[in-house]
Amino acid sequence: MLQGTPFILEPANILLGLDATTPEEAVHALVGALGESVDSNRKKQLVTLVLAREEEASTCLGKGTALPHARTSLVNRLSVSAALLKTPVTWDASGKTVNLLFLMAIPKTAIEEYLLAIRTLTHAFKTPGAVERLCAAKDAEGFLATLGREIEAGAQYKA
Amino acid sequence: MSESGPVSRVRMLTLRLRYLARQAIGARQRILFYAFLAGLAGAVVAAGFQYATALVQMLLSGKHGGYVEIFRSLEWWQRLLIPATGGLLAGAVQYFARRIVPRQATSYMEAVALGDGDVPMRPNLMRASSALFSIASGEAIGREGPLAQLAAATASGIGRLLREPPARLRLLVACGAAAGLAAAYNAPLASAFFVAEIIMGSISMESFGPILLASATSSVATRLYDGGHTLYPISFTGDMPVSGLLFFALAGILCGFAAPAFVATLDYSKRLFGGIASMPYLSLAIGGLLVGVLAAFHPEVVGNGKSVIREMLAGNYVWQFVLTLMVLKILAVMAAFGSGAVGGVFTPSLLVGASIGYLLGTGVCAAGYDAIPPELYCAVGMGAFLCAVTHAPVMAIVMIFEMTLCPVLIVPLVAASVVSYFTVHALQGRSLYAKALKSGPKSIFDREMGELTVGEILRPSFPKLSAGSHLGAITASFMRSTDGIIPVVNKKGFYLGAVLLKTIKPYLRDADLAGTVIASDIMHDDVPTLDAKADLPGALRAFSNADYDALPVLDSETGIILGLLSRADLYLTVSEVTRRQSV
Repeated sequence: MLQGTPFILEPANILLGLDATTPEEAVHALVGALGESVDSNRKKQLVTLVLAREEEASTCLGKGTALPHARTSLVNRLSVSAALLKTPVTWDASGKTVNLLFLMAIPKTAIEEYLLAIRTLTHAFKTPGAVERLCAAKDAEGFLATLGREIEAGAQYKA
Repeated sequence: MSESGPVSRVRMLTLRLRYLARQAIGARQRILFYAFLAGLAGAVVAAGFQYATALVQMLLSGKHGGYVEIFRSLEWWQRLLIPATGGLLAGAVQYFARRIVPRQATSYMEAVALGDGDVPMRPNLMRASSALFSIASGEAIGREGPLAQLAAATASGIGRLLREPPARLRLLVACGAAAGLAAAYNAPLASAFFVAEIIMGSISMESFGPILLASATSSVATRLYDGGHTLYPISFTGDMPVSGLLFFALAGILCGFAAPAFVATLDYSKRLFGGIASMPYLSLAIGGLLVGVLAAFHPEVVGNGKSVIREMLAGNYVWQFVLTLMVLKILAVMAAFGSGAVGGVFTPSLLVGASIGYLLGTGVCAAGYDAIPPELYCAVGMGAFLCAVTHAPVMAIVMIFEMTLCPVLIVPLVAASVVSYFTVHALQGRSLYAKALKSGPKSIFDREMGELTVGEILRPSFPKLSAGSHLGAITASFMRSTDGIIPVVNKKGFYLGAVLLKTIKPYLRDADLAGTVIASDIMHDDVPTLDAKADLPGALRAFSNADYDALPVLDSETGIILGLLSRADLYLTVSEVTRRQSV
C-alpha cells in the first residue's frame, strides 16, 4: 500500500505507453489492469459503470490527468489501476486531453476511503512538475516510486 | 462527457466558514433564533398597535393621552358618544371582516394548547382593527389580547413561511404570544410563565427557553422605543410583620371567592348579548353606549384600569369610591366583553383584584391593625385575584412583582396567591381561559399516539441533492440544513440515498474536490428510512437504533421522498401528545 493512501497499487496495475484513442478504450484497459480485484466476468460491467459515472460528471482534473471511477459491489476493497497513454485522448466535451489516468473501483461502503484516495491523488498532482515527473517514468516501478514521492510532497504542498 | 471545473479556494473557504458557524447552530439553536425574531416581531407589533390606537383615539376624541384623564375633561354627552361610536365602528369592522375573510381567527391559545400552531394573519388583522376602535374609544378592555394575538399570528406566519413542522410551529406561536404579552406589560418573565405554564403546559427548557427569549427580546425592544418604566411602582421599604400574612391569606380567600363570580358574570354578559351577536355593529354600539353611560358618571371606568390602579396604589381614593368603582368597572367590563369587543380582560381583572385588596386593607386598618398600608393590600389583591382567575399562581406572583418591583411584596404575594388558588379550586371555579384551552379546533396532537403517522409530522421542505451535485453544491446545501443529512433524489423524486455531513466534514476546505466529487460518489444508501404511514412508536424505535438527527420519510409504495423527520420534532410531538392525553 502506498503510504498515505488507502489503496494498493502494484506494478501489475500500471500500464505505461497505453495505446488508446478514445476514453472508452482507456477505461477498458484500466479495468483489465485491476487484475483479480474484479471477477473477469464482471469487468465489462465495471467498464459500463465507470463510463456512466464519467457521463454524470467528468473526472478530468486538468494538467492532462483524469480520475475515472465507480462505486460498485463488484469489488471488495478499493482497487486502483493507472495508465500513461502513448497519445493524449480528448476526455470530455470541454475538449481537454488526458494522458495520465488513475481508475478506481470503490466498494459501496468505502466512502471515506474513496474521499481520502481522491484527495491524496489530487494533491499529489498539484505539486509543480508532478504530472510531468510521473509521465517521465520509464517503468512501472519507477512510476510507483515517483508517485510515492509526489504523494508525500502533495501532503505538504500548500499553494 | 460533461465538464466540471474546480471551485475557487476563496469560495470554498467562505463556504467552510459558514459551515463552521452553521455547525454551531443545530435545530435547537435555530429555534432560539426564530424565538428572537418572534420577540422582535412582538415589539414591532406592539409599537404599531400603540401608534394606531393613539391615532384612532385622536380621531374619536380629538385628544391623546390617558383614557381616564381624557374622559374627565369631556362633557357628559361626549362620554356617551365616543364609546358608542367606537363600538359601532369596531362592530362594523367585524361585520365586514366576516364577509371579506371568511376564515375564522384562531385564538393563539387554541392554536397552541389544542391546535398545531396555525394562526392565520388576515382574520387576526381584522380582529385587531376592530380592537383598535374598541380600545381607542375607552372600552373597558385590555390591549394585551390583540397584541398577543397579532404577535402570535406574525410568528405563525414566519413559521409557515419556513415550513416548520407542527410541533415547532406551535412553539413559535407560543413565542409570539409571550412576546406580545411582554410588550404589553413590560413583564417578560411573567409573560413567559403565562404562555408556558398555562397554554403550553410545559416549562421544560426545550419550550420554556425559546419562549423566555422571545418575551425578553420583546421587552427589551419595547423599552428601547418607549423608555421602559415599571407599571405600578411601589416604594415601600418598611418591615412586613409576619402577622400581616394572616390578612394577606384572607385576601387570598376573598379573591378565591370573587374570581368564579367574576368569570360567571362575564359568561352571563355573553349570553345577554347573544341575541344580537350576529349584528356586531349593533351589539358593540350598545356595549359602547353602556360603557359611556357609566363613564358619564364615573370616567374612571373607561380603559383598562391602569391609571386607576396607580391612583389606588398612591392612596388617592377613599374606600367608598373604590367600592363604587369596582362595581361599575365590572359592569363596564361586562358590557365590553359581552358585546363582543376584541380585547383582553387580564388588565381589567387586575383592577378588580386591586379593589378587593384595597377594601380589605382599609377595613383592617380601620379595625386597628394599621402596620401595613392599604396600598400593599391593593398590590397583593391584584396578584391573588389574577391567580384565581387564571389558575396560575407562579405567573401571578411573578407578574405582580415585575409590575411593582417591590421585593417586600413577594412573601405576601405567595401567601395570598396560594390561598386564592386552593380556594378557587375548592369552589371548582373555572379559569378565564378554560374554554379556550379545552374547546376549539382539534389538531394532530389530540390523537392517540398509535394513530398519528410519521407523514403527518414530517418537515416537507428540505434541501435535496441530485446524484450529480458536486461537492461544492453539497457543502452549500449543508449551509441551509441543520440536520446533518441531505437526501439524494433522482429527477422524479425517488430517494437514492443520503449524504452525511460527518462524512464530508474533513474535506470541506478542499477546493480541488469540490468540482470532482459528486453526490452519487459519497451518498450512503444504508441510512434507515421511515415509512410515511409508520406510527410514532415505530419512528421512536428507528431513531433509537440509529444515530441520526433526522431520517428521510418515504412513500413506501412509490419510493418518493416526502420529507425529513427530525429527532427533535418527533420528541416534541410525542411529548405534547402525551401531555394532552394526561389532561
